Amino acid sequence: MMGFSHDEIMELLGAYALDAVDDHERDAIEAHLPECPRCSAEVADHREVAAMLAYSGAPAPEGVWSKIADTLEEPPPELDLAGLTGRRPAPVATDELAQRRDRRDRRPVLLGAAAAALLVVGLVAGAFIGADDATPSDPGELAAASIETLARDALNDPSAKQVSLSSPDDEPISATAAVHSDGSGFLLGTSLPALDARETYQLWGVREGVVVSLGVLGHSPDVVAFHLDPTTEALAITVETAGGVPVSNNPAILVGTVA
Amino acid sequence: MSVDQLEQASDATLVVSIGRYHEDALAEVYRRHAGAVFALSRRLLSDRTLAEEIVQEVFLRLWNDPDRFDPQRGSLRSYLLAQCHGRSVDLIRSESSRRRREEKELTLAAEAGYDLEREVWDLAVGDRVKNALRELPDGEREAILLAYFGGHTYREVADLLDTPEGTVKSRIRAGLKKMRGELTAVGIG
Ligand SMILES: [Zn+2]
Repeated sequence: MMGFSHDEIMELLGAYALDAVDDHERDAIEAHLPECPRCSAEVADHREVAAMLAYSGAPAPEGVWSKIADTLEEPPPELDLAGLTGRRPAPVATDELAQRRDRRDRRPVLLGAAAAALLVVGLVAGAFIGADDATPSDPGELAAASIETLARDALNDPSAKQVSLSSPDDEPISATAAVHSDGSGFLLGTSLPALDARETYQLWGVREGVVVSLGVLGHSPDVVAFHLDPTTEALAITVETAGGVPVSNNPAILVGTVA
Repeated sequence: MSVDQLEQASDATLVVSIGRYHEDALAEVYRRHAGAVFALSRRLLSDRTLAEEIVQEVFLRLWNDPDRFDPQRGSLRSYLLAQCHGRSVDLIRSESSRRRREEKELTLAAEAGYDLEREVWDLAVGDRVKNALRELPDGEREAILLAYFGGHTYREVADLLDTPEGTVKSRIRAGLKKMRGELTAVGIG
């Protein structure tokens, strides 16, 4: 750490927390902090004290909020779900799109964790679909054939929501999903071309502007069971590298609104 | 989230919402903390326009990069204030304000005996924080106030107070630790 002993680093932590060290000292401390929980905790404590010194009941400055609100970046068109809301999205400059993607790239933690959790839920729930109907106790025994039967039943069930997924780019591909009110759903009737084995289709649900993975569909999907939150507003399918991703940066090739 | 939910949400919850592009959540964080952020930058920069720019920058940064705030490592308020302090001090130390700074230091030197007591009274801090500050040995209190509100490095503080650098460095740390202890003991912090 640039010639500083641990004791020397520790002696500097108070001054560091008040931004009162020189650049070379700050660099040494910042190189050290990530690997030392003790020093990190001390800095955090010092900063809490500093925050109390700075405490002020002063009101927020006038006029600054409106400046901030004006500059706020719009939410990205999640997964480029063009046409989801039934209206055409405004044309977006290429570099602006790049910036939006860039923002999403930088924030894998929040969405990533949520999506990863839901990915698991989605797949497990998919395997358990039909448990109510005295289907095999071992979900592993739920054969592809019976998923197909359940899917057809869902498609013919007037109480299930039917979702037509179509291409935002007017490609001649489509898929249909049927979703029961309890959130169990099936994707079928896909006319998706088989992908290279290193790629996979992945299904996504959009709810309150948040995109969560509903499952990895494989490179040549036929009928797939999934589970979604009943308040999901839209479904989308992307092409990802095999295994799927927690957060997609790719445009949706199929989208459909959950009516 | 409804207005009620927003007002009752914890800071950490609001930051999660900010991560989902909920502007209302940022507005609520602003309502809670912008006053303190502004007061600190204003105090450090004594220039209203610059101070407002810092406020804008701090909140936009939270919007653009909410993941940088780690609720495990401290309160949102201390995080925002630390960002504000760091940016304000950068400005103070930048080339463009060097001249202003030199003038300020001349003024400081001219005021025989920096009126620290007044500084303390000027702080819009709670009585307990004031008490905790007052109970510090003079040398520790002076060093902390000059560093934090004067935007001085500990080396500059050492010059101003005509005290060895190592002593100032230790006093800042010791003083902060004592205040932490005091404030924790009375249930704040
Ligand atoms: Zn350490």
